[in-house]
Amino acid sequence: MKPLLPRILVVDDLLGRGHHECRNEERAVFCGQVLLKDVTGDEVGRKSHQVIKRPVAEAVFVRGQVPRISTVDDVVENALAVTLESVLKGWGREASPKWALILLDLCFYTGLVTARSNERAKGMPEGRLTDEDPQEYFGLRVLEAIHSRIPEVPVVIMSHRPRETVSREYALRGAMGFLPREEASEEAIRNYLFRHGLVSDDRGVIVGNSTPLLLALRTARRASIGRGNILMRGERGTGKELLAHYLHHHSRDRKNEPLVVVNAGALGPSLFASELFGHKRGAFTGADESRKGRILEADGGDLFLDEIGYLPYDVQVALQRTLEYGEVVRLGENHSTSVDVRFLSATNVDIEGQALTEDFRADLLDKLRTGGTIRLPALADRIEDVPLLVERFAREAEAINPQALHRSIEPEAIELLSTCQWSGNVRALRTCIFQAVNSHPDVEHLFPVHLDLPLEKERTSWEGVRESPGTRELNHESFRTLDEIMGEAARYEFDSSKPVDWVGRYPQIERAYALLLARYLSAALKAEMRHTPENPEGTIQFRPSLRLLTGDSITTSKAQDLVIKIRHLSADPDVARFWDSDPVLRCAYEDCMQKRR
Amino acid sequence: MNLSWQRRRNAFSHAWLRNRYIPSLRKWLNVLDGRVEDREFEKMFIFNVLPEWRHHGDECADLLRTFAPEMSPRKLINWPSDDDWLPELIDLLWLARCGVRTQLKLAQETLGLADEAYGVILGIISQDTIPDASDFRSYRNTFSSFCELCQTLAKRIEQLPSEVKPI
Repeated sequence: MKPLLPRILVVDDLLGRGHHECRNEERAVFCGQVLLKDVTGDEVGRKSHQVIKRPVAEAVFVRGQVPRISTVDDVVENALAVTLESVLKGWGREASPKWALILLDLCFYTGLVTARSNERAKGMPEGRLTDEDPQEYFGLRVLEAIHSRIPEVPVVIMSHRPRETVSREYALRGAMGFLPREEASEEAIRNYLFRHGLVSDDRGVIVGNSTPLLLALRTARRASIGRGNILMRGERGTGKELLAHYLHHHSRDRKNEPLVVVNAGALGPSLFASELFGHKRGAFTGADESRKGRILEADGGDLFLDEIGYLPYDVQVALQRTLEYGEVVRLGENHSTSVDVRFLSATNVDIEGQALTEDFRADLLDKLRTGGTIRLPALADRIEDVPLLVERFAREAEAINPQALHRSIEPEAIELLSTCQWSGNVRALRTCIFQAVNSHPDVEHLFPVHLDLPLEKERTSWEGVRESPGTRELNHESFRTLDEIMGEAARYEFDSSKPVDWVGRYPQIERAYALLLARYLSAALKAEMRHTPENPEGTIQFRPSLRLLTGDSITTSKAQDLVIKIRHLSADPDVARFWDSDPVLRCAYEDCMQKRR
Repeated sequence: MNLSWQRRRNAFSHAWLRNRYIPSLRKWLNVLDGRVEDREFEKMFIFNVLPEWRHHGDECADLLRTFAPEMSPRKLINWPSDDDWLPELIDLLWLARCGVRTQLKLAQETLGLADEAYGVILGIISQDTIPDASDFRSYRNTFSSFCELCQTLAKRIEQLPSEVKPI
């Protein structure tokens, strides 16, 4: 999947104006100057014949004024609301790609378009004295409006006004930088996109265009060019190792050197030191030959250390010394070896909390984040990336088998996937898609029925879920309570003309029902647990819990029977796993079975 | 403030040099490098845009020549005529103390160098044939030098004081 070109919005009175009969020559020159592909789409009558061979980005040009197309005797005025609308249009969920960067002029000329001003530049007005008053620059008002509405979008001022006369004003209003108009070049644009732009991974490896992901990638790029160690935070399955590769790729002086990957969580405690620092032959029993160690293997480059929360304390001590002095001592050796390694470490635990409780060395933690901390968003925070991720994973799954059919993941399936919690994040989504593709090798179109969703709490709101085509529309926005959901489920009608929508649904209904009751029972048991000083963890109270569940008086014996009955409602392995994963449910079931015996 | 000189500076530096001429030169360099194809622009640049230097170069020379007389703080003073020495003194102090003399000299030197570079380019362009960008690829450095000098000139002009102020 080829990544999209970044898209830049240029707000400029000269470059943004339209023409009826001819192209905007100044815009064409600007695009040729900085290698931008004009995708504004406002050329009427006459198309530009300019071809940019390898554009650095696409560009949309807006005038910031009304009318957009003007001629002699027209009066041109600045239009803040219209400009803001253009900005917001390219930032909504439907925008693809979103604005990677906004280039904003400062001084916008207004007033009457005279024959003289029209001759100088078609459609441009004479201008008023106030236009050139730095206190009245329209560009600063636009900047303020953008920053107050969408503070994440990076804005760079592009003007031929002297920088020092406006530097304070644009910095105060949140602009990222200043580009003198005549110094605009491909290289300058690339630099701004690199440092400040919200651009996706141009290698196409990290997939996604959502704002949280693009913000993380921007932080990564900024950190990557430094020499400091970088700490990555994020839940499991969010792509921390991929981000390490991204950091390495964008590093100026390490990208051609090794990137060594070490998963601290996968190593046994006894192997850590040897794996990281290496050992001399005979250093310990079983050390039949010398080993360099991963840190030395990464010399000159980067070392990605995953799951640092699992590092044994003695290894932390040695690692801290390595980071402090740039030296490694192999096991069994008396001397140290100098090493130049940048550490890219990752964790999904509360490492700061561990540092406070001294389970993790605070000084080591500080050393591991000298170059900054990057937080990778959970999939739930970048749900708009799900369609792109699904598409990518489907293609990957197909690529394993060259004879495989091309699969289309249908919109209904994507909608359903977008509603899941995904505690395993992107990795869990990938597993789900791979399973769907591999389990249905002879089906081109994959619907919700083909998905084996992870065992997780699903959202109680049906936001985003739609029923299959041909059946009654579910108005998801009306769902607010569990009763409403269950009421709607009771009234739901399957379309008998579309068997693909209801064939094989019974096991899923049974599973959903069994899980719902299990959760209901779990909540009731926990609510009625009795906690005493002798038993602070609590004792299960069957009679009151099941009375809560049913709404009726019930004997203890019947309550226990009901627990067993709920447990055996479904033979689905997911239901069994859920019961096993909930300590209260598991305990309740075991108690009931014991008493029955 | 002498709006006339300011307006003329804006017209030269803002409206023409920075907004039109330098961007066109930069695009031309990208055309020579094969990164942009625009046949329409190639003809327009050689025959229409590039020769604008002749007229605007003179305009710039005039701008620099009239800078001191029009922007000197002597204009703020309205002294009786038998104190002719005072305006002269103010001029000299302004030129020396505020670094204006150096700035003006640098701007004039840059203009001279740009004029020379343009002369070299004129020698390259033949008016008898319809030029193609490929004809000029081997002279890319010459055009690049001219473009850099224009950028330097734009900076120098911008550095000249923007208002008449007492010293």
